[in-house]
Amino acid sequence: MSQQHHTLDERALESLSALLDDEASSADIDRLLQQDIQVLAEQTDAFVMTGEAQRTQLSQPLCSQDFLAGIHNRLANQADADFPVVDNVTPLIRVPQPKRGQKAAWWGMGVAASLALAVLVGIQFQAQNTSLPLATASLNTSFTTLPERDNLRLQRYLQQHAQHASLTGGQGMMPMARVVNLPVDQ
Amino acid sequence: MQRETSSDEALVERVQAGDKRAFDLLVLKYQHKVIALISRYIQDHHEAMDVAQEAFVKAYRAIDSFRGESAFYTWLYRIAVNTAKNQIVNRSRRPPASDVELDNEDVHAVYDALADINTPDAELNTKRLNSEIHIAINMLPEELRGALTLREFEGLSYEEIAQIMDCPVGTVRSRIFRAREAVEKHIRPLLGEGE
Repeated sequence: MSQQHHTLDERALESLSALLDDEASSADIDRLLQQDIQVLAEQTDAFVMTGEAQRTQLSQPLCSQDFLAGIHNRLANQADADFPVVDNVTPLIRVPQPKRGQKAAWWGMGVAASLALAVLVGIQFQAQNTSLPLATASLNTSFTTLPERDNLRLQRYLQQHAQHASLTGGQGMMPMARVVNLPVDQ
Repeated sequence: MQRETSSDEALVERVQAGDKRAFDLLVLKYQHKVIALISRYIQDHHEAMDVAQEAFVKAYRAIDSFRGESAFYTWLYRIAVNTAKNQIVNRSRRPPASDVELDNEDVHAVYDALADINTPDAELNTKRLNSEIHIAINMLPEELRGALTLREFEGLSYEEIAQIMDCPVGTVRSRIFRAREAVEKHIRPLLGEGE
C-alpha cells in the first residue's frame, strides 16, 4: 500500500489529496507548487473519479490536463487581445473630433489671420516708403484704376476688414468675399 | 492542520502576488465542481467544458478584485453561473456560421451527433471504470475504506472523521490518501485505455 509512486512522491500525493478535501496546509501548497502541474492534473483525475464513483455513478471522466491546457491557451490568446491592432479596434474612450463646421472655422481663422498680417505688413512697408496715410497707400497700390469715390470707400473697407480679421479670426473671411464681388461701377 | 478556507485564501493570495501556478491548483481543485455546476445549465458536455474554461479565465482575470469577503468557491460559483447564463443568451442570439440554411434544431442535431460519435465506447469504458473503482474500494482495509467513505460519501471534514474514528487528524489524512492511492493504482491501466 505504501509503494513509491512513479511520478509524484507520497508526500506530494498526500498533499494533493488534502488539497482536494479542502484540508491542505501552507506546507502542502508549497510542496504542490514545486510539482509538475501536468502530473498533478493526471493524478487529480484519478482521485476525483474515486470520490465520484463512491458518491454517485461515475459520469464521463474528465481529462484535467486538457482542461488546464485549454485555460492556458485562452489566457494566452486573450493576453494578445489586450493589446490589439489599433486599426481593428473601436476605442472605448473616443477622442472628440472637431465637427465639419469647427474645422472650417479654424481654417478660416488661419487664413484671415494670415491675410490680416499680410495687410498690416504691407501697410507698414508702404508707410516706410511714402508719406501718405497708411490706408491710402494700401488703396493706391491695389486699386489704382478705380474712381476716386470707390477708392476711398475701398480704403475704409480694407481698414475695417484688417481690424475685423485681426479681432475675430475666422469671421474675417466674410468681408473679403464681398470685396472680391464688389462691382467696379459702384 | 489548516482548514479549507485558509488553503483557498493562501492560494488566492499567491495568485494575487503573481504566482500563476497557484491558480492551476485552484483549477485542479474546483474544475470538477464547476463543470458539474455548469452542466446543470448546459447539457452538452463539450460546450459545458468550454464554458467552464471561460469561467476560470474570467475568475483569473478578476482575481485581484477578490477580497475574501466570501469563500473563494462562492465567488467562483457566481462567475460560473453567470458565464453559463450568458452562454445560453448568446447562443440564442448567435447568427448562422455559414450560408447553409439550417434552423437551430438542425445545427444542434449535427453538433450533438458529432459530439456523440464515440459514445458507445466511452460509455462502456466509464461503466467498466466505475465497476473497477467499486471493486478497489471493497478490497481496501477497513480503516482506509471507512475513512474514505466518511469523506467522500458523507462529506465530513478530517476533524469530524478523526472524532468518529477516534484517531488523530493526521492519521485520517494519511488513511484517505492511502485509500485513494490504492484505488488509483487499481484503475490506472483502464485510464490509459480511454486515451
